[in-house]
Amino acid sequence: MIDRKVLFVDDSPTMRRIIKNSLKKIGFTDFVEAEHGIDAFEKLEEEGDISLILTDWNMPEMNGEEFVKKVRSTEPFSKLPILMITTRGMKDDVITAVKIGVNGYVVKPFTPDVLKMKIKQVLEKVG
Amino acid sequence: MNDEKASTIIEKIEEMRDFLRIGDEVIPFLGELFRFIQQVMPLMSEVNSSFKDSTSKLPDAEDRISDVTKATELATTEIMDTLDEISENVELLAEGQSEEKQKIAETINNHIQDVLMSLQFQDITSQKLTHANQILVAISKKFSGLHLKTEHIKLNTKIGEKMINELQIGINSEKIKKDSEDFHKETEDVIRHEKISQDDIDDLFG
Repeated sequence: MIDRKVLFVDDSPTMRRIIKNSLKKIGFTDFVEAEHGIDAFEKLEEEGDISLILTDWNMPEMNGEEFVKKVRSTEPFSKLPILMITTRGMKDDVITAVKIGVNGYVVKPFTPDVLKMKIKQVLEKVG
Repeated sequence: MNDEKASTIIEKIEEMRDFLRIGDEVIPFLGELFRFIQQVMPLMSEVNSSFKDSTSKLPDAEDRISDVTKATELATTEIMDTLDEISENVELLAEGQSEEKQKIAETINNHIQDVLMSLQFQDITSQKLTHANQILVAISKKFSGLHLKTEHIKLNTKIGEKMINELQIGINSEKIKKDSEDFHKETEDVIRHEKISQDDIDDLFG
């Protein structure tokens, strides 16, 4: 069991279910899910004890890039570890993600093992 | 004639000579431009005609893509529900069984998890379709903008009116009409306007 509350953000119900299953398999038990950036930011403020964010990029209302920028510019969330899980696999996308402050990047489709490894790397890097 | 008048006349002559020189250079260019317009005009007619055909079909194409996304999302959810149920039942069946049977149950559940993970294709395909959809919308907007601009030129300038009339003649030509009909035939099977329910189908069959 991993003692961290995870917020995962994806507009696709299929993906949210897959991420949730994968997180359970990895050992997480405490999750909050959101459909897009606006929803996610509201949940972040409501919950108050989220310590890891997994977010998609392409989403309606507020996309992943805008969401990450908002998190990075808002205290006390600015230092939270963020892993992006997205279909966007171009070099420019990854560079943008690094620039806006994403700590790790996974291109869909992923396996639970890849997700586990990336989460581990992000947590080691950011804490 | 005094010197002042003479120099003014010389200046005017030089101005005229310069003008004629420019004319010498400009006239062939105008000729070329005219020939270019003559050659491009039929092409423009086709483009303009295609604009109309394409823009009228784009909203339908957009709806179709959204429908596909919704349908696959629904189907994927159903598959996931069923797989979860199978997984739970396998676990129940394995309870109290021999180690060998429990291992088989575990293998089945691992396979079920693999299938669940592979369902990510639904989201990936949806996102690709959404991307294609966005491109279609952008093109549609460009086409509409061009069409509006054409109308504006037609209504506000005499040259524009003349040119658009020429284009119109081009559009009405037999070749363009045939191309337009071919385009319609190619797309009508793909983009249908009327939806029909199973009840309505049954009614039609009596």
